[in-house]
Amino acid sequence: MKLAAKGYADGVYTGPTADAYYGIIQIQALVQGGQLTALKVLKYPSDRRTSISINRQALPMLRDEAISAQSANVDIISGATLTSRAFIQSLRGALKKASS
Amino acid sequence: MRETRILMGMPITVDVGGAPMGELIEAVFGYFEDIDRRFSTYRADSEITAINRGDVAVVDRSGEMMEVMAIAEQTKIETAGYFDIRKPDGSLDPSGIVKGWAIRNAAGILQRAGVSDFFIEAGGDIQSCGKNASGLDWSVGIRNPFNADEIIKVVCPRGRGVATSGTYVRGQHIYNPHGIGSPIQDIVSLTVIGADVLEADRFATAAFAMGRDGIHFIEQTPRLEGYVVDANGRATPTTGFGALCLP
Repeated sequence: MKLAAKGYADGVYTGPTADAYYGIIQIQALVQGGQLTALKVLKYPSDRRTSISINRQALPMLRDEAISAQSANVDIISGATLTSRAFIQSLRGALKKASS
Repeated sequence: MRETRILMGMPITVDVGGAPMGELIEAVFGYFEDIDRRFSTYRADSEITAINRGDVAVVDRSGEMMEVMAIAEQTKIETAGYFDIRKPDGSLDPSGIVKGWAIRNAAGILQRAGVSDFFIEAGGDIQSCGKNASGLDWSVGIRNPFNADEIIKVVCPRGRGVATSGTYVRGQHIYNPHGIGSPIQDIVSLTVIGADVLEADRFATAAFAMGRDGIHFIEQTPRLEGYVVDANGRATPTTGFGALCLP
């Protein structure tokens, strides 16, 4: 993410809602000493009204584990990029307010 | 031979192992360019933009557009509405399905040309086939959502597709303040392995939107395996996931 992070007026700025395809994202930026110091996710795509039917009794209990670093000697890497556009869109809106 | 280009707003990598196949790689990248011209909602001249302007009657849509719309509709039904290309403003954005669909089709270009050992990766979604240049199974590292430089799992998909959905990359002055002091319930990354990359991609997108329930949805859906990481750094694999990983 390339966003100039200096020269903003101090304050709390709320970005526009942006569609992250599976839901709405909205970012709030905190500017202190002219610099972007923190971001807050105000809206986040977890409040769907629809619900799916999962028959937990028919499923095995899934165990969980702590994540731990593995050998980086791999051919390809899989990681998330999905919401980056929506995220940056909302953040840019917040920072525009901070610089105006 | 491996090459990466930025297309469709993301890095796309094509690797054909030891084979010198410059022309084929050009054909694959050319295909992604064609797809972007047709499906990009960021282009004023794309078919999808024309559809959203109301300039294209349903019967005049291209065959590719019809196919993508049909897959999107099917996915919406299969995921109880968690996958929906219709945005709140009523416009259509099929980009959540186009990536996996395009990677799968691009893999078909290589296979039809007789290439048996390759992978294509676009924005973290992967279709691999055959072996790498060392004669080993292609290995896919799952990125740590809290540290982009770190791998937390190594998968050997052996011809299957892999896709990861997530919230955002950390380490950029970004944190999730979702109720400081209250229990964190969020998931930050969900990787799905499916029969091919289209299956992996569409179900990773939908299951991620289900939050905590997503991994159970993957568990109960045949031919899918998954690995979810939550905001506390705890991971939950489906029961068959471990068999596809390097120890």
